[in-house]
Amino acid sequence: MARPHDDGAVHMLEAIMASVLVVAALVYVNTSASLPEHDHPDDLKVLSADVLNVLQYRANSLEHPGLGFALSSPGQWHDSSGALGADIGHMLPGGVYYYFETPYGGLGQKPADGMEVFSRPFVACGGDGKMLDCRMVLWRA
Amino acid sequence: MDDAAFSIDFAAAYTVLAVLLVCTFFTATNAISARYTAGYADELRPLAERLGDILLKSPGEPEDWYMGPSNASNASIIGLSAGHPGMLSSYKMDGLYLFNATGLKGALGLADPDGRYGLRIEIESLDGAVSRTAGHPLPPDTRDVYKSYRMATVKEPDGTCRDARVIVYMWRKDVGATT
Repeated sequence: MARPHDDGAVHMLEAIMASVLVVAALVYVNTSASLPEHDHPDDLKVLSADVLNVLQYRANSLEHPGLGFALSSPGQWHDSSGALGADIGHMLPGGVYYYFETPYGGLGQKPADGMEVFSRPFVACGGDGKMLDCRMVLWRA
Repeated sequence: MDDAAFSIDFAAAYTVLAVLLVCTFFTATNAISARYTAGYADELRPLAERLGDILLKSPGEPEDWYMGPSNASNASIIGLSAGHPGMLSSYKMDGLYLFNATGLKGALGLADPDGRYGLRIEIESLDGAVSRTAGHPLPPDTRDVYKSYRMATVKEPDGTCRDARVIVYMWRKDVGATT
C-alpha cells in the first residue's frame, strides 16, 4: 500500500507531464499561426512565365546557355542542359522544383504522381526548323 | 496544519492553471490575428503581380523616362524592360532613384492619394553584382506584407546579362500588425 507522500509524488509527476503536453500543444499552435503561408498556385504560373522569358531572351554563353541554343540539336541539349538546369535551380525560390520535358530528354526532378503541379507547355524551334513540343513543370515539395 | 484555508498543493496547482490559461489566451489571439494579417497580405496579390508585370514587361511611356528628372516627372508610366519581357535595362533600374517612395507608386500607375499602400522594390542579381532598392522601408512586422517573387535578367551596358530576382513588397498601412 502506497504511503501518502508517495501518492503526492505521483500526482506531481502527472501534473508536470500534463503541463508539458499542454505547453507543447500551445507552442505548436503558436508557431504554425505566426508563419502564415502565402503560397498560391498562381505564384508558380507567374514564376514559370518569368523563368521562360529569362531563358529565352538572355544573352547566350557556354556557362549560361539560352533555351533556344540548348534546344537547337540533341547534341547541344546533351552538352548544355546541365548548365541550364543549374541556372534554373538558382532562379527558383526555396521549396520550388522544376522539371523540363523536351523531345531530347527531361531535365530536373520529376514530381511524384498525384502531386499538385503547374505545367506550362511551350514550343521551341529546333536548329533544323522543326517545332519541338516542350513542357515546363513547377511544383512545391 | 490540515485545516488551512489554502494548502501549498492548492496554491501550486492554481498557479500552474493560471499560467496555462494565460498562455492559451495569448495563443488564441495570436492565431486569430495571424490569420487576419495573412488575409490582408493575400488581398494584395493581384496588385503586386500587376506592378511586377509593369516593371518587367513594359519599357515605360515614354521609353526614355530614365534620362533625367524632367523626363521622369513627365512619364505616364515607368517600366524597366529593355525591349523584351523579363529583360531589364540597367539604365532604367538606375532611373528608379529619380522617384521618392510616393512618386514611385504614381509612376507605376498606382493611384494612392491617401497614402494607404506601402511599396518596396528590390532587384538583386543572383551573382550579387547588381543590387537596387526603391520605395518605402519595410515595416518591422512583415506578416501582413505581400511578397511577389519574380525573375528577370539585367542587361548591362556591355551587353552581358545577369539573372536577377525582383521582389515586389506591398502592404496596407491602415491594417495589420503595423498600426
